[in-house]
Amino acid sequence: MKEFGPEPFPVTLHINGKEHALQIEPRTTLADALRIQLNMTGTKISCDRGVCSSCTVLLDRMPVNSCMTLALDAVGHQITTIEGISANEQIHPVQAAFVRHDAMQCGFCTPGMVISCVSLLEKNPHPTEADVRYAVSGNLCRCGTYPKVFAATLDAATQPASKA
Amino acid sequence: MATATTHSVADAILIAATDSSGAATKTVSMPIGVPGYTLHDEQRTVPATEPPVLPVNKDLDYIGKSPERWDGHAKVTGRARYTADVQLPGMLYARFVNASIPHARVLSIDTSAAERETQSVAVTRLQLEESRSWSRGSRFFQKEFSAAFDHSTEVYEALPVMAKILLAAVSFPS
Repeated sequence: MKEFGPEPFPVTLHINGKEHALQIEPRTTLADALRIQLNMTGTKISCDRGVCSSCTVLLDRMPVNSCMTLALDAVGHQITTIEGISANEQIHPVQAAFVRHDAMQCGFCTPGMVISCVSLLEKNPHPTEADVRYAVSGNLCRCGTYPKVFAATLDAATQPASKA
Repeated sequence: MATATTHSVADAILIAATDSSGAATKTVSMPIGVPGYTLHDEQRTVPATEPPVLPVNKDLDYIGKSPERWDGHAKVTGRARYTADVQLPGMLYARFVNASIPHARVLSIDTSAAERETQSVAVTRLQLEESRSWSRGSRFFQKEFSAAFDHSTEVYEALPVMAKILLAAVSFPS
């Protein structure tokens, strides 16, 4: 087994279809690598302990808490952040529905919420409200925007071409 | 006669219609009533300076409508910048060390280990009475922090009450 660290060493992360070469310490979480080293601050950190899901990113299209994922463990996987959900200035139907339904107040949980809902629709294009509730059950929102998140996601499911 | 500001809207219209003081008036047709129930047009005489009559609700652009949140697009795309997203050169990290025993009498505070830390910029000692409000605490905090950066190591007398020690070792990010 190869040992790393504690010094930084070079890795390549595949983020939103691009390769990013960076120097990371083995202890660096994926959330910190994204936010601090790559300045991709769309991914938020609230609790930094895997409770709130505001740091949710897709790892090979699976939603994960990036604060609970070492950047090292993400090497070799396709990472999709909130910046990658709306690639080429074209916002995702889920994002459009969030704006239409005003499914946010302060907006700090919103990137994580959007990613959870995008992931749900990729797996289940015609969810029930119970499915949406389950999909965002890990996402904490202190503003209490859940009802509008459910409505927005169900609305987005009726829109054509909900592909990232 | 009372001033117009104390009257209801209906009263105000009535006053305008019966105004005999010579002020210029105009007669306009305006929609009155509840849309879908009693909505109809009526002729009313109003002061000439009265702004144009508002159209019925469905023809209004903003009143009665839910406008889109102005920063909604930025928030759903992650482009909205929050305080925690800002990185400036020379930012410091603070580390707090609290008393490990609640309701204890503080006899001494040893900060030598924090001071030996090579990356440490300043070490300060702060005691808060647990019963005091946060606002009181934050004034202590500011005073202590400014003192820390003046290289003062003054320590408050240990308070013989519930005390909470905050010890901050501040270091530059590498």
